[in-house]
Formats: sequence, C-alpha cells, structure tokens
Amino acid sequence: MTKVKNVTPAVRYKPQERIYLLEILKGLALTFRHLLRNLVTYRTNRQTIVTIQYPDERRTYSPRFRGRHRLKKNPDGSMRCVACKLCEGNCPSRCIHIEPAAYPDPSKGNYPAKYEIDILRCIFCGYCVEACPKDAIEMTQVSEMGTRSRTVYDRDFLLSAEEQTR
Amino acid sequence: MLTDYVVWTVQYVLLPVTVPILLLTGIPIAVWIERRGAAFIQDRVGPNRIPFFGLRNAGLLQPIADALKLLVKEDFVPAKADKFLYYLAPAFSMTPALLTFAVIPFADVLEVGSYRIPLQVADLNVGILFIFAIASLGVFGIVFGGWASNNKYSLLGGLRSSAQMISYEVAMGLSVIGVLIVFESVRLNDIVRQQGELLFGFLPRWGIVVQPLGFLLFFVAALAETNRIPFDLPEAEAEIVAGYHLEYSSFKFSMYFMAEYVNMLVASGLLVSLFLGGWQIPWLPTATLVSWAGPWVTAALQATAFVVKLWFIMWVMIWIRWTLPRFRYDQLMGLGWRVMLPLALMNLCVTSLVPFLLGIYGT
Repeated sequence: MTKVKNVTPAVRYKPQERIYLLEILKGLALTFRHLLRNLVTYRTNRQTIVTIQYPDERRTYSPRFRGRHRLKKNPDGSMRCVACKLCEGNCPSRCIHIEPAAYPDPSKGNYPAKYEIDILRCIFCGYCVEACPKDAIEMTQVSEMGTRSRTVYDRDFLLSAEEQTR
Repeated sequence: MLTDYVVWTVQYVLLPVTVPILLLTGIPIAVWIERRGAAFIQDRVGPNRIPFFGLRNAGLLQPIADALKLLVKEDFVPAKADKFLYYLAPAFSMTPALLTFAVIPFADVLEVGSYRIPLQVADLNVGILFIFAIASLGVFGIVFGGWASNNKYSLLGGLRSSAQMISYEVAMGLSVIGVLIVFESVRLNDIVRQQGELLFGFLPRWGIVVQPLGFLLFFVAALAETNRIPFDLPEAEAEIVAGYHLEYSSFKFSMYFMAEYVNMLVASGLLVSLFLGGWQIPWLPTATLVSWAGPWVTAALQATAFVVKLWFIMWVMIWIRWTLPRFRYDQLMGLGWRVMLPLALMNLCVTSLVPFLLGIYGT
C-alpha cells in the first residue's frame, strides 16, 4: 500500500494574525471601502455595482443565442415551410410534429396543416434550423417562455412570433 | 404649568408606552440599513423596488412590505409540535428584549420647577443587574422554540444557543464588573452622569477610556448574546438550515426576527450607556446646557446624542456582520472560555488593584 503524504503544509500564523483584531480591522476597512465607493458612484455613470436590474435592464445575448422558435413567412405572406419533415426527422428530442397538406394548386406544392413543437421536450439545440432547406424556421432571442397553459406551440403561434424577435 | 397629575402621566403612562413603540420603530430602520448596507458592501443594489405613490425612496418601504407579506403567510404548526411552547416561544423571545430597555436612560433627569422626571421607563437602583436578569430569560424563547418545533435542526439550534449564551454571559458579566468598580454604581443613570467628567482636564471619562479592554470584551459578548454573525451559530443557515426558527412562519417568525433586532438595539443602548457616555454630549455637562437652553431643549439634545451613538453601534454590528464569516463551533467555545473569560478576569483584577496601588480611593 502506498503511503499517502500530506502535501498541504500546516498554516503558520504570525502573532499579529493570531490575535485576530488587526486582521478584523483590515477586513472592516475593506468592506467599508466598497461601501463608500458604491455610495459615491451610485448615481453616476462610473458605477461599480454589478447588478443588472432585470426587468428594466437586460443582458445582451449573443446574436447566435437559441431562444424560442418561429416560422418565417415569404414576402407575400405565405408560409415558407413546405412540410418536408426534415426538422422532425433531425430533432434529437423528437418534439416536432408535422402533418403536411397540399395546396389546391399543384404547382405550389405542400404546406404544413399542423406544425407543433412540444416546448417541454425541446432542448433548444437548433438542429431543426440547420436541417431546414427552405430557411423556414429560426430561433429568436426570446428566452422568457414562462407560461401556465401553452406547452405545445402550434403553427399559428410560431408564425405569429414574427414580431417578437427582439 | 406642571402638576402632579401631568408628571405622573408622563412617568407612568407616556414613557412606558412611547419607548417600546420607538424601539419597535427602530426595527424597520435597522432592517433597511442592514439590507442596503449589505448590498453596497457586496457591490449590489439591494431592495429599491417599493415606490411610495410613484416616489422612489431607495427601498425604505421594503421592511414594511416584508412585514405585510409575513402577516398574510400561512401560520404553520408542525405535526407533533408541543403546541403550548410552540406558541409561547416567540413571545418569550420578544418580551425580555423589550423589557431590558426599560432601565436604559436616554437623557439626564428632567428638572422642571420642583419636579424631577427621570427620562427612562424605570429608574431602578439595580439597573444593570435587572438587565442581566431579564436578558438571560431571552434564551428561553430560543430553547423553547427549538424544543417545541419537533425538528432535529431546531433542537440543535436551541442547544447551541443555550451553550453560547451561558459561555458568553460569564465574560459579559465579568467585563461589566470593571465598569461598575470604576463608577461605583449599578444604577445606569449614575454611571452615565459620571461619564460626563473629564480626565486630565480634556478627555471625557467615558467607559471606553477607563475600560478599553472591558469595552472590547463587552462588545464581542454583546454580539454573541444577540446571535449576530460571527456568532450566529443558533441559526447557522449553512449547517442547521435556520436553527431554532426553522419551523416558524408568518407572524411567529417575524416575532423572532423583531426580537433579534430589538436585542441588537438594547445591546447597543447598554453599550453606549456603559462605555460611550450614554446621553452625554462630550464637554457639555447638563448644567451648562440647561443654563444655555433650558431643561426641555437639553433633554432633546441629550436624547439625540444617545440615539446617534446607539445607531453608530448598530451600524458597527451590521458592518461586522457583512465582513466576518461564522465561527466554527469549537472556535466559538474556545474563544468564550479560553480567551474572553481569562481576559475578563484579568481586567477585573487590574481594575480592582489599580485604585489601591495609586491610592485614589484610600485603603
């Protein structure tokens, strides 16, 4: 059996450290310095307070942030999605459900009669965006998705999310 | 102008009613200072979200909002709790805290005409002894709460509390005896009045000047007695969740919470009275002030001086809380018995011997 050697040397405190008082005063000076600095700069631009006051101020996310999905539209207002089901097939958590339907005009091809994302299963990996050949789905910057009712995003909701990209 | 009836009313109705109310008013202020001070020390903002009719007030109303929230919360009683003690404990914690302030004077005796009105609730000749007797009862509130909750963490909190109180009360009492020897009285108003004298003609004879070690010991012991960090072992969130008040909610919890702050206020008041000259304004004795401004203004000025000193000590307590970490339990006991007690005894011996050696009080 190998011998375990204690490699952490015992801390030897100096006498002035052992009576605590001086060190406590140093600590008090440190905290008071912070207090004074924050009091002085509280209303100025040179703020030292690091708090982001959330509903009023927000952190800026990376442009590549993967938030809530949305379905994009063509300039004429029609859906870009052609219900090819590549996103559904590529989804690792299998949260996308598509039911295709055909336009009456055969030259226009298919469209999704149903396009649902079960947001409770979604892991926000963004593979659906990468799989899409028509650039019809993208992920917005929206991260606040708290809700009591809508756990499955349907087609019309995903389409209406156009304006909420932030 | 003054009749016997008015004086009686002031002394036995007005003062006993207003002093506890003022003391309770100190709680939200202390909470506000605590939270904002903590925030600024830690480079945060702290509570600033309670507008008063649209007026931003740096979170001054946060304690009131907190109190309202606590009032409307569910009043929870754990299964198999000892109901009687469970209900009694918060009150047992609060009452001694409020009672002890009765003997602390916040201004010199008001002399109007032939009347002498002591500006404290009860001018007892056993002043400090009364404080120690009543303050020791406060620990029962914590022990009862810990026992009655039927929770192992609460019980541990109560146990720690009782051990801590006993350990530090010894040092506290011994450190005070030095002051009592110097000022030769246990009546607080006498002690404060003597602190208006001057040493060597320029230095106010405050307790901190004649008993510096006593001041230090008393301050540390006062922190321990009020369960403040670094001595908050009874509640120690990281180890025993919240200790004795773990199972308490709603107004019972806020009773414990208020008791802690009232205890702080009382400890500060006692510290100020014993060591920082109480209501004395340095270099301005009562007689001088009265000859300049009359008795009423003098009383007001002295009360202001007392309040300023009291809040200074409060701030130091809060400041220490946000600077130091919590003691380990054996360190706490070691400090109490192996450091504080010998130092207090040494202080007591030196204080008793010096007058004889210098021949100040004769033999």
